[in-house]
Amino acid sequence: MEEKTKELISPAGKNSARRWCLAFFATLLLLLAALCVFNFLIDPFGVFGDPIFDWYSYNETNNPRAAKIAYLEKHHEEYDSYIIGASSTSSFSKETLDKYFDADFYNLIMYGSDLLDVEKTCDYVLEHYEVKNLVMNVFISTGFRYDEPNDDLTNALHEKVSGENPLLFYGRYLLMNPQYSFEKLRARRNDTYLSQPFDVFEPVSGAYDKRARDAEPIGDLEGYLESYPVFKNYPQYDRKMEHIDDAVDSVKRVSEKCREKGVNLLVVSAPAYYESVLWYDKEDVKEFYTKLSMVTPFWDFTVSSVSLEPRYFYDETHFRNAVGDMALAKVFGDTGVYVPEDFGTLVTEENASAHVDSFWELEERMETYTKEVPILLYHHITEDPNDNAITPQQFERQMELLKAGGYETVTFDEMIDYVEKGMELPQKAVCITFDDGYKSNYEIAYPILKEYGMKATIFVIGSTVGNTEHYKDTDFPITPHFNFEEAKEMVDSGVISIQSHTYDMHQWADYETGEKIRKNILRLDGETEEEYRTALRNDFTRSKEEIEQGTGEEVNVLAYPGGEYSTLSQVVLSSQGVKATLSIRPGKAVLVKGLPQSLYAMRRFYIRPDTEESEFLGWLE
Amino acid sequence: MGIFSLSYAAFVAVGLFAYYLIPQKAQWCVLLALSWGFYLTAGPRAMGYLLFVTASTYAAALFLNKQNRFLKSLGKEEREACAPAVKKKKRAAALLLMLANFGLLFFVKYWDFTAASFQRLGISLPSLGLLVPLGISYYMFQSVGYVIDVYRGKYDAQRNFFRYALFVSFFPQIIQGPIGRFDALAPQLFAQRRFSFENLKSGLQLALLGCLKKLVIADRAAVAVEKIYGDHQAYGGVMIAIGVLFYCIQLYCDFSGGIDIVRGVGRMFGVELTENFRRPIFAQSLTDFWRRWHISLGAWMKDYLFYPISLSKPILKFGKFSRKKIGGRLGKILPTSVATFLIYFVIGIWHGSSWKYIAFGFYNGILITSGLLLEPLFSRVREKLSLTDGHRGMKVFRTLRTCVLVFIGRYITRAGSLRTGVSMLWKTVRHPIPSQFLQGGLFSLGLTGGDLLVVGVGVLLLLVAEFLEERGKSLSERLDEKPFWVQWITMALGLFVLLLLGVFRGDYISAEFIYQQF
Amino acid sequence: MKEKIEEILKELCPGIDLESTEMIDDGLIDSFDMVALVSELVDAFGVEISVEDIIPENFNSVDEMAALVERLK
Repeated sequence: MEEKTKELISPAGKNSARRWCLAFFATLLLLLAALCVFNFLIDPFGVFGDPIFDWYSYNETNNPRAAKIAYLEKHHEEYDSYIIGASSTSSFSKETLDKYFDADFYNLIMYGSDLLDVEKTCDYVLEHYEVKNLVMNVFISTGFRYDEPNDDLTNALHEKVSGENPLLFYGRYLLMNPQYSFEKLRARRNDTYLSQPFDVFEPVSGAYDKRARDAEPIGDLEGYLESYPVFKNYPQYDRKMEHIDDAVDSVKRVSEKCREKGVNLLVVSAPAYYESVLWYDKEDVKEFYTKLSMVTPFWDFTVSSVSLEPRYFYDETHFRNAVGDMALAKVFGDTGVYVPEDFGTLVTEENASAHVDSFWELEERMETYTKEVPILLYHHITEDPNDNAITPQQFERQMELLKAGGYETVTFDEMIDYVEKGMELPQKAVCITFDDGYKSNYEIAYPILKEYGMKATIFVIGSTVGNTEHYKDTDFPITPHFNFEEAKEMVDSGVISIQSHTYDMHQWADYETGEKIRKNILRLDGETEEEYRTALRNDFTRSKEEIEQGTGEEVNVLAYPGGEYSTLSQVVLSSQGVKATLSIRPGKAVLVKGLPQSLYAMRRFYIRPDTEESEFLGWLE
Repeated sequence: MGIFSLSYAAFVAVGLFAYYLIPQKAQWCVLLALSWGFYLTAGPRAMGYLLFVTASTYAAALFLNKQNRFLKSLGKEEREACAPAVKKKKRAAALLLMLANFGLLFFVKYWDFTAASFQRLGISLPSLGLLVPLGISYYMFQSVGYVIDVYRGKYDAQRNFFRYALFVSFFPQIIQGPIGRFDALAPQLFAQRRFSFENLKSGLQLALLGCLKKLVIADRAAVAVEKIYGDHQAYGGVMIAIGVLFYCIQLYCDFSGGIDIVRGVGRMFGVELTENFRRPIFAQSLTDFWRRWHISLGAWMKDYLFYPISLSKPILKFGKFSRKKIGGRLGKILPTSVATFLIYFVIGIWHGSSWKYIAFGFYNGILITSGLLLEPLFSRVREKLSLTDGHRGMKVFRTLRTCVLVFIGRYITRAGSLRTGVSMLWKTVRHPIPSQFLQGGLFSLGLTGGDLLVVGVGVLLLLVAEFLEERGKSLSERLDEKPFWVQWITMALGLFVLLLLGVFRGDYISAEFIYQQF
Repeated sequence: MKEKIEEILKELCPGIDLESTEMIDDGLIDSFDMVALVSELVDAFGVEISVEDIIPENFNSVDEMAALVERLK
């Protein structure tokens, strides 16, 4: 067959070969065209404006450098200020920046970027968009990494920024592996309200979507280290800064450009976990920061007592949004926000060298910034031995013990102030709470508390407030609950605070007639995220409105029915202004200054009829 | 520039335009320019090696040719008188040429290995760390074969250096063969051609098939191979055997796929390169296997090594002696066995500088000679079982037996070292641990279920196609008989699969993977 | 001479089709047989057959082999 002589082929065969070849090339072109159209329409990197999905949280996750510029091309008029840098930049939140600068910020964080990426992007933004303020985050590692390759689809700079031939740039994204587009379609199907690894950005602010992170309850250090073992066994590297001059020159050029354009430039150096600072050589860091200070003064947060506290970090090198807020509060001298004393220094030519020296002298110089508070959980109080509840005598005895032990009750407002503003709490602090809103709280506990000079918080279920005989509209008998008149009387006395135990998400399954029964705050089976969020929002709003109307007191604390909660529930509640939530996991609540998450799902000690005195005293220790 | 790259495709396209647009007289010059240009992308140093081989073999052939002519020009008596002296000269020249070339090859390819081996004996030789120039084994064997042919007077030497250079460096085949013969290849290279759609079509078909084999099947199988050979201690015998199976698939699809492309590109230029694979899976014996696998290498070895050795005077003498003194079957085949052994030893070394290749050569040599030795026994068994040679069951049995023997040999060639290969083989026998396989071991090899399916279906289709071809008609011939739309669908499907499952394989980076720090 | 060659062939490759004209091209004689055949021919006819002579054209049929031997004598 191979040696078939050419003469033997008939003219018909010739024609057919010609047809075949033409069909071959036509088919090849057609397939390539189909590929281009597919990649264009799905646009997993957003470079074509994402015509169908407009899903930039996904596109930016795939390649923040290219997709963010593509996003800004369409939206830059909504912003007048930018913050830019590698991933740690994300923790400076848009809301805080907007507030202090009185501006509209876009967070141009590009994960894994080096200062050359940053410089090029700044150049483009300064040339083409209206810019009032520019915040540049120079992380310590930028002296180590510079001019890293940008040749993958996933880390390429946008053609407009890099000056690459547009034909090549868009050609690559048209003719790329269709799997990128398939994956986007697949992700689309699995998309959820909160971010997943495939859509980590929040398109409007440009920052990482940290709602889930910000809703994560944080308590004692040991538990934290269990969840974040990286801090127990921190990686060790030996890093030589080989790009100090490159990095400094980049900052210099950006700062010159800002001056030229009349743009207000703020250079910050983000907080680093202490052990990650030790990866670098002291002399390198000194050289880097000294040279940088000669180009521009900058606010440095690299090393401080914050660097020693893992709970302020969520992985090796990334600090939490709350820390970003502290940093900005420091820069703007906001005394209403807790800022550790040694956090943040304005570095100038004069102090640079001494400042870096202090990095290596950092030791146990931190003021107290955590507080353990035992929170006691009570329900109904009665003489009736058939009721599984404590007696008035037991309750009074426990109050007596608190008094004798020198304990002072604190309210949630005080605890919130501790966390947010750093306002100190009494040495021996204790917090008293009652769930459900039983009439016995009004009749028995309230007078006793008043007598002992104690304060407490009662979490009422909105739908059963004032139910004295029957469970809601049913004929089922109910342990009597106080009404809003009584509630208001207690609130007005200053002894009691009334807060939410949900409006109707603590239902008694046996007494309910509806199909969907909510025993707790969690999402029901078969309920969509959207339905659930609406249900929870509506429930809480109603509870809040009724309580605020009935008592005149602001509602910003919620006790989770049954102690059950989820990340999503915490996110929804935070967005509704809830600052503290309570679980029923036994243990002391651990508050951390500057860390709002320490107010979430706080632990409580559940007092039962058979709680022994010794046990009770043990909790307080 | 790899032959599976887009740039290669573009290179070929530009080359085709240039070749068919230029005046026909200059066509061969285009080929040479393309070939040298192509080889230059491997670097100037590699080019130096190529030029050395080209020039030395060119000169040697011219010299030998001159001697041949001189001898021919003489009358009968004079010729007989001069012959011994001329022969001596010729022999010296040929020897010198081979020494220079194979010496060079040894130097770049085997020096470090030799140095390391001597090191173990306590003799210290410096290691050079030379990079082996691209395709040197192939074009050198091709050129030396040409010189030997001229030496033997098979044909005249090529006088034009550049024409000869084209024969040495014809770009489709320079990297991985097939090793061509001057008398078959050269006339095709120098022919004057008009563009033909038939050539383009059959070239494209072959190239498409090659790409499918390599990019869709081999590159997937390679992932599993890498995983199992790379971490063989972790695997039991069954999984290791599966790894070897994947390796067999990978090796065949990779190598023969590459050759398909080479031959396909050759065809587009109207050049029919020699076949290198003839459905080795259906080999009836190990000897047959070597006639179907890497054919051009085997043929080279046969013509330029096996015959000269087996027909050399000492061996012939030894043959006479052994037939008389030893007698019987053994006496008869002993001399051939010696030659056979040597051939497989050389084939082993040819594959690379490591003991495992030498062992691989011996493995083949031993099996083949012992097969020859035991043939009377086999035929007696066959007689007892009243099996004839043409019996279908016999054929199937032989095919399977050959597959198993080849399979076992593959344990050694891919392993990191001879010792590793042997221990893997040992494990297969002694520690199979089938539970690893039964508990979804296949899915832990870095391949998704989809990938495994693609490999499975791909191999199955390939087997069917080769089976049909083995029975007489090739796939492309069968297709040509079908209506055009069937041809088109097949081609479109091939292109579609190639694009979707071949071209883009492996360059996908999941955002979840790159983005680790949130 | 042809009879002698046929005899040798029969002994070397039992069952070979002596009428065939493509013994090499059809793979009836493989390289081992070839070596044996050559050494038998050398013994039987006292000729010297060298490597250059080992090309298919000289061994594809009994006639060709006879011609080769004749030429070398």
